[in-house]
Amino acid sequence: MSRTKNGMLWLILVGLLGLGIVLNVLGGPKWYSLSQLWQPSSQLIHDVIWTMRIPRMLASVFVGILLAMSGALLQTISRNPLADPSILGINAGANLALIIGGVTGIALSIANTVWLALLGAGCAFLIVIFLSMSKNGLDPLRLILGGTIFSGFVSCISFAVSMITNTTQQFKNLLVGGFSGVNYQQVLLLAIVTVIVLAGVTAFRTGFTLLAMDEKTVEGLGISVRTLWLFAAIFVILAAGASVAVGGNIGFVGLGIPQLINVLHPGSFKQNIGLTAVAGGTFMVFADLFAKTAVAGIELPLAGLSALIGGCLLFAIVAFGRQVARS
Amino acid sequence: MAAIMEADNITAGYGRRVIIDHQTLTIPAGKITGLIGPNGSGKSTLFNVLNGFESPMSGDIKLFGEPISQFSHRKRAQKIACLPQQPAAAAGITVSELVSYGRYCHRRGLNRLSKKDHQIIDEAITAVHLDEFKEHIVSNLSGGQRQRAFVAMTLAQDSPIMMLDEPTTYLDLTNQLDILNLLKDLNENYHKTIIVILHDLNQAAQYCDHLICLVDGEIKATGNPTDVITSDVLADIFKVRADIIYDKCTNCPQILNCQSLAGSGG
Repeated sequence: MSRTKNGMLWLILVGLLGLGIVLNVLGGPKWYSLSQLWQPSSQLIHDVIWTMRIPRMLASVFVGILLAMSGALLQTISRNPLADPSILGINAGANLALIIGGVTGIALSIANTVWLALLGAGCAFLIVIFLSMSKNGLDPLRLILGGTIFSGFVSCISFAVSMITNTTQQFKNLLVGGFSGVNYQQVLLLAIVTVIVLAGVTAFRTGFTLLAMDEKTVEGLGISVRTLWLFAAIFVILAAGASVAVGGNIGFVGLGIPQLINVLHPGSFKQNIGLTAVAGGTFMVFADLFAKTAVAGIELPLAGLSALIGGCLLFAIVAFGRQVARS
Repeated sequence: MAAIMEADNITAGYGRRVIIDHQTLTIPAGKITGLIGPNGSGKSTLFNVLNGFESPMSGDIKLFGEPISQFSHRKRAQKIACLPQQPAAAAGITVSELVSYGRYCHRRGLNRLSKKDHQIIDEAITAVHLDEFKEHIVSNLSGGQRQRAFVAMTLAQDSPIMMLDEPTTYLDLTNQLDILNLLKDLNENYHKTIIVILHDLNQAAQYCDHLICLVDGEIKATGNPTDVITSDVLADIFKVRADIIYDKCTNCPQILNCQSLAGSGG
């Protein structure tokens, strides 16, 4: 029964993703008809589709996949279903690094955004891990509480820095999240990171699945917890850093999507990571469609939109009595 | 009595706190060794250095005659399967998935389980009598069934040594006996060397071949149950006065009429 349910979910999600991809390309300030995709009626429409909408659609799918996977990874390795790169301040760290970089005059080229975002994400992750260490190793509750406070703190600094330097308009995409103006270079960056993270998670999926058990049991099974943690951290930082470098600080995808998949199809990391990745891409491509089409002439802030949906999901999860923290 | 593990003059503890101070012991091969002692006597500390989770501050631990520090995580897990107190399974996994984790230390790079792996997993599930529950979710099982599922996981590691930290705590009497009989069965029919921390001295006396009695980080008595479970040991270490009777068939000592000596200063 579980197998057919799994198959059904795959079918539905992949179908939705396909639909979302097509709608996302067709939708915008001006909706195009399907036939414009292969027979654009003017050069302008052709250009809009191929230089603006398709890279934007691709970026949203990749970022959705990356954020959902990094959330699932963090939830497993920290044994805490509330973990997520935005809650733990990893996204905020990448964000702050980019803003500081931009303000101090580093040209935000692709290469520069990558190293800045990775540096920021990495530092933030290290600080949060350090904050949550107790005598008995990593304390899941401290991780979440420390991470949340740290995340809020760093986000405030980001806003403060850009307010003081009068650059809120320049860093609008970073601060409120969004994919307008994404180019193919950025898409290529996201594609490379997605391939690395997918390959890495596939290679280590059994190990990551085992990390969900208590540390002593894991060690008894002959697993080097440290090595696996290191790899998991690298994948999370890569995924979160690249996502922020392109789409800004988009929250709650990493939290909500793995949770949602777990509710629909309870299972281990290994069983659910594929579904989670597809669901993340699907969610993001629709969220982006909504952001650019819901209110005519205005781009809704994607971070706010995502947080709104994610917040509702979180309430539902807590209300339906899922365990929020295991210690 | 051949030793499968030896600890020579080991000191162990956490941080700077010394808990086990210069102790020497051997674990006989093919036997069930029970670690007993009052709460806080250092049983868990000793357990965690013997299985290689923590390194001792000084002294050597040898596994099959070689220093345990030279074993990689994986190699060590191939020799010692270890079940900690109150293990926690990931949410949503089935019994056969859990048991398959025991094969982790044998796999080579790939994630796929081989035919042999599947066979060993099935055998382990059969050994703990959970065949009907193979596809059940672990967290939905009863306490006793869950514990047996974890024992099956350690069994699937296919290691000559099994170490269990208080496997019967939090179980009712039937399930306690179930687990202990299972250990006896694994020892006799699968030739496992078993090291187990037990609280119930009567159960320890009944099921173990060899006992190591710890108090304040010091090994106070060691040997077969008849030598260790004596009224002197009970009075000195556990601060209880008790009568000891010997089982007619097995000559195994059993404790009756316990009275605490702790309060009376004796």
